[in-house]
Amino acid sequence: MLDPQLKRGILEVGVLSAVSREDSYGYKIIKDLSGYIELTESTLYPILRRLEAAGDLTVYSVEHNGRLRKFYRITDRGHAAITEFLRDWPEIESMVEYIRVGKE
Amino acid sequence: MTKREFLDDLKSRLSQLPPDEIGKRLAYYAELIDDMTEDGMDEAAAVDKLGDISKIAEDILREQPLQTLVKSRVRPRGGWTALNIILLVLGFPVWFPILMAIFAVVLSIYVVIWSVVVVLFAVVFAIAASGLALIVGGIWNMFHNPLLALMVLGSGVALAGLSILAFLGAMYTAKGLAKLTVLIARGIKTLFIRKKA
Repeated sequence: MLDPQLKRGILEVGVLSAVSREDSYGYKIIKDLSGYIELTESTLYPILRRLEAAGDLTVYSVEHNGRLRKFYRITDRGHAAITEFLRDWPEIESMVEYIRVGKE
Repeated sequence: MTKREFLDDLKSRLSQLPPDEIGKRLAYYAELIDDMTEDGMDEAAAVDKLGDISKIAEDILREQPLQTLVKSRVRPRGGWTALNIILLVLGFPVWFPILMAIFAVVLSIYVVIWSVVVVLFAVVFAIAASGLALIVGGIWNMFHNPLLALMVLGSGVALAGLSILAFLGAMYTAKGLAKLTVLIARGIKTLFIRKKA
């Protein structure tokens, strides 16, 4: 089982990345990420809320089939968060390698 | 369960949240169910995919800050009418001491837990300090009275070793107590989550 805090951090960047490809909405984000990590509808909501509050995403509504659909768009801050994550990742990778060697 | 039933049930379970918060949550789940059915899924299957509704509601309530929960818990069922406010003011001598008492109890629990931690580390420090003193004393007396000095030195080393073990023990206990305080905080939050009527 992945540590919840670690998973949350990765999920946040995952959601940002999904939205960065094109503006997206709840159901599509879940579908896009479903092949990579387990993400339930109920875990996505607080993540979106947090990203929005942090200014990494903005929200707008679009009418679709007679109802409103909430779309999310990534901000410059959100892009910066992805860049930062990718920049820090090699450090985590080398740590994983260290842990793996210790286990052998 | 149909979409309507799911949303109504969720709404009643979230009734202690502010109305706009309930509205946002319901809109989120409504959109998801609509998107799933539009994608070709059966409505019942879509609702099913969201998972256990009591777990969903509980998780949402747990996410709320404590103030929100307390505020809604103390809000009278009929809202803030003049009568309610008068009763609240007149009842002040009764409810205020009770509230303060609860607050004091919670505070003292925290104080007790953290004093245990402080005491543990004080004991560890005392053992380490006396061990060190005995080692120094043993070396100091080595030429006057070698036999006694050797004994003193030996007990000093033993105490130093014990202090290292005790330090590890104190660390584990402190970690356990820290977890306990988290559990207590969670318990207090649960106290303010209204059970489904």
